[in-house]
Order: sequence, then structure tokens, then C-alpha cells
Amino acid sequence: MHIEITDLRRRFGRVTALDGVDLTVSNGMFGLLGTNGAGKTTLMRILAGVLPATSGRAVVGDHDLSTRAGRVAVQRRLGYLPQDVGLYPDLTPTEFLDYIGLLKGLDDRAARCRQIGELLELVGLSAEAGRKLKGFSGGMRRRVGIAQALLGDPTLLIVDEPTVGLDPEERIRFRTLLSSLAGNRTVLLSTHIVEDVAQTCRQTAVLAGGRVLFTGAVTDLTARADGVTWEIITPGPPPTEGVVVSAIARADGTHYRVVSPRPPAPDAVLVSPSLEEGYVALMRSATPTPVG
Amino acid sequence: MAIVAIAIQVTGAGHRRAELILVAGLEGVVPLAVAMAALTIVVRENCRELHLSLPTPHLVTIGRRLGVLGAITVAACVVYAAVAVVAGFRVGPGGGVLVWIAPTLWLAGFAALVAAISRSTVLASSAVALVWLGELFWAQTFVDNAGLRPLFLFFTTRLGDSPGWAGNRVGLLAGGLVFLVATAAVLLRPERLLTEEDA
Repeated sequence: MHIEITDLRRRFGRVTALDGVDLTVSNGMFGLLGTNGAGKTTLMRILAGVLPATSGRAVVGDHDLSTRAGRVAVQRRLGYLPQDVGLYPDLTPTEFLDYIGLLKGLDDRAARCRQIGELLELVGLSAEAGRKLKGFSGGMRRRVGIAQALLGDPTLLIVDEPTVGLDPEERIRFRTLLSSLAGNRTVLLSTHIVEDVAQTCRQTAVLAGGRVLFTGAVTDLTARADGVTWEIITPGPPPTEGVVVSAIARADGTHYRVVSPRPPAPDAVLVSPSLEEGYVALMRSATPTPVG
Repeated sequence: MAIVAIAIQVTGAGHRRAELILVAGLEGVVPLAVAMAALTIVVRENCRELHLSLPTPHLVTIGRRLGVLGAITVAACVVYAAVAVVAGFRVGPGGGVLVWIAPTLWLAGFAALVAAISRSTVLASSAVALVWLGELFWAQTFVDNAGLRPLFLFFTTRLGDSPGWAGNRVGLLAGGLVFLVATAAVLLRPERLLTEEDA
């Protein structure tokens, strides 16, 4: 499902959350990166039809989100996993999915039940289908969340910060699940965890201060740090020049990886950058002002 | 309430007194209980953002829940009134329907509106309790003042079906409908439903 966003703006009182966003998203996994307060959640909510934009245009498929008919048409093809999915603690996953399925317009009871069974299998919760949600871990709740998002076989999947608060094993499991779902869908993944995008997306955009700082291939974002990523091995303190992206203590000293336009130390060596370093290089080159 | 009324009659305190308690149950207790339930339905929603992303409008979902509450209330009150009538008590004109439906609609509508505007269970339930207790304590003021009389929740309990009763009931019904329409208007604005942290 193709998404075309043009000069999108959203204000909350005096706060400008989105300030003229232009973005194009095609099929497959698309990562939306940015710091907290960059405007990612607001953008996701507008695309999910949860919030209206103040001005500008967002077209999903052939449907203009500024009209009520357009929003409903998109919502019929949408699977949305909000940052805080909530859930009803006294329901079982089966009951919860059944309820959401009804609200999604899946009126055929037999088909709905069949799909719920398949989705619980997909997210690895078949064995927990009869247990109440109040006893579920954070990772299990997210998996119920993704199962509800997949009800009705949506062509657009929007997931907002899905891996926050998950342990490493659950995070990897969840990322793998999302990647496997991309197929012929558009999956829009909002996150401030660069690693999640590095592992799952080919295309990405970086938001800061309600504006798009970058949009393009993940490899192009990584290339932003070409020629400015250095490694220094020293037993001493970290370098003061540039931004230290990682510091790993080893027997021969601490290995610092630094993003800096100039060598941070005389013995610094240029190295191939990672996506995280590309992101840091991009953020250093911009002067964003965090907003709601 | 019915048990209390029957107990009072059994102890010989009088048929009229027991009848008054039965009417107070319908006109006083039912509206308060329904109003508290209504504000909870409007305010408390674990999956608000998810609901707003679904093709079924969230207003329709809340409307259905309030509808279920209404249906339960009607069933309970009709049974209550029927039992009272069979037991030989009079619970108001026409089987007592307007005795409970008018104040219940008004107070529940008020509760829903305050809940939708404030998004706070504490604030909304405090406002409802304040109004209910205020009308109870200053009942005579409401009876004496023609301008306040259409807002008086306990007319039947205080004055029976004396002149002005029908006007009071119509006033409460109209007020309740206005509150519900205003609540719907507030709930149609999604940014009003998400908390500050959400927005």
C-alpha cells in the first residue's frame, strides 16, 4: 500500500508536533527513526486515522485521510499496534481478539474464530489462548497486540515503538515476526532503537523536531558516517572530540567508536560505519528542536 | 431498598413510610448508581487509541456500552417497580417509569459529559456526588425556586405527583438528552480522548 505524505502539519495548542512532513512509503518494511518527541507517534496516529492533521495531505492507497470516508477506508485495511496497546486484563487472548475482530467488521463468526486460532499460532500464544491477559508478560502482551493488528489480513501495518521494554530475546523474536509479516504488506515501524531498523528495514526516514531530516535507503543513512567514523584504542579517558557511539573495554584498552569530522586523536583510525553511526552523523549535522 | 421497605412495614412503621423508601430507591439511588457506571464507561478505556484506529467509531462503541447499561437499568427498575406494585405499594404515576427514568437520564447524562470533558474518574464522580448531595441537602430551595424546579432530582420523593411534577420530569428528560448530545460532540474529537501524555 503506497503512502504519500505532503506538507503534513499538526499542532497541539502552541506546540508544533509535525512541521511540514513530506514522505513517500512503498511496500515492505519502512523504519521511522527519531528521538523521543520527534513527532513519530503523531505521524503514526494521523496515518492510522486516530488524529486529524492540522494541514497538509496524507494519501494511503487511493484514500485521502483528510476525509472521513478516506479514513474509514484506510482503517478497513489497517492493522495498528499503538505504543501502549492496553488490552483488557480480564479477557483471554481469544476473547480479546474476538471483540476486536467484531469491531473490525469481521462478522462471520466461523471465519473470525478460524483466523483467531491461526494468529495465536503465528504469534506463539496458542497454548495461552485460555489464560487471562492480566498474567501475561510485556512480550506476550505485544504479541497479542500484533495478533489483533493482523486481524482481517490488513495491507497496511503500523507499529509504534513495538520493542520498547522487551528483553533482548523477545525483541529479536518480535523483529523477526514483523519482518516475516512484511511480504506484500506495507509495514511502518516507528522506533527510536536504531538496531531495530538496521535489522529489519530497507527504507527509512529520520524525524527530528517534527521535520524529516532524511528519507531513503538504510545503506544511504549508514553512508552518512563514511569518512567520519573513527576507532581509537586507549586505556585512558574517552576522547572529547566528536560523539562516542560505543566503548568496549578489552585487554588492550577501551575501543571507542567516535563520529567526528576530524580525527578525535592522533592514532584514530577510520572505520566502516554502522547504521547507528550514520544516524548519529545525521543528527549532528542537523540542529533539531525537540517538540511534542 | 425493597427489603428495607418491607422490613419497615413488617415492624409496623407504616405503609406510607415504606412506600416513600421504595420511591426514594427508584428516584434517588438508581440515578446515582447509573451515573457512576456511565462515567466509568466514558472515562475508563484501556484500549482507547486502538479503538480510535478501528473502522467502528469509538462513539458507537461507547454508545453500545451505555445502551447495555440502560437496558440493565430498565430491566432492574421495571422488576423493582412491578414487585412493589404487586406488594401493594404505589411507586408513582403510570407504574413509576418517569420516577426513575427522568432523574437517571439527567444525572447519567451529566456524569457522562463531565467525564468526557475532564477524562477523570475522580473529578467526574466528585461532581456527580456533589450535585446529588447538593440537591438532597438543599431540596427545599429547589422546591421553592421555579427556575431550579426542572432540575430537581427528588421531586416525587418530596412532593409526590403534585402540580409541577410533569414539568419537572420533562425538564429532567430534556436536560439529560442535551447532556448526552454534548457528550457525543466531545467524544467525536479524538484529541479530547487521549491523555496529555498520549497527545
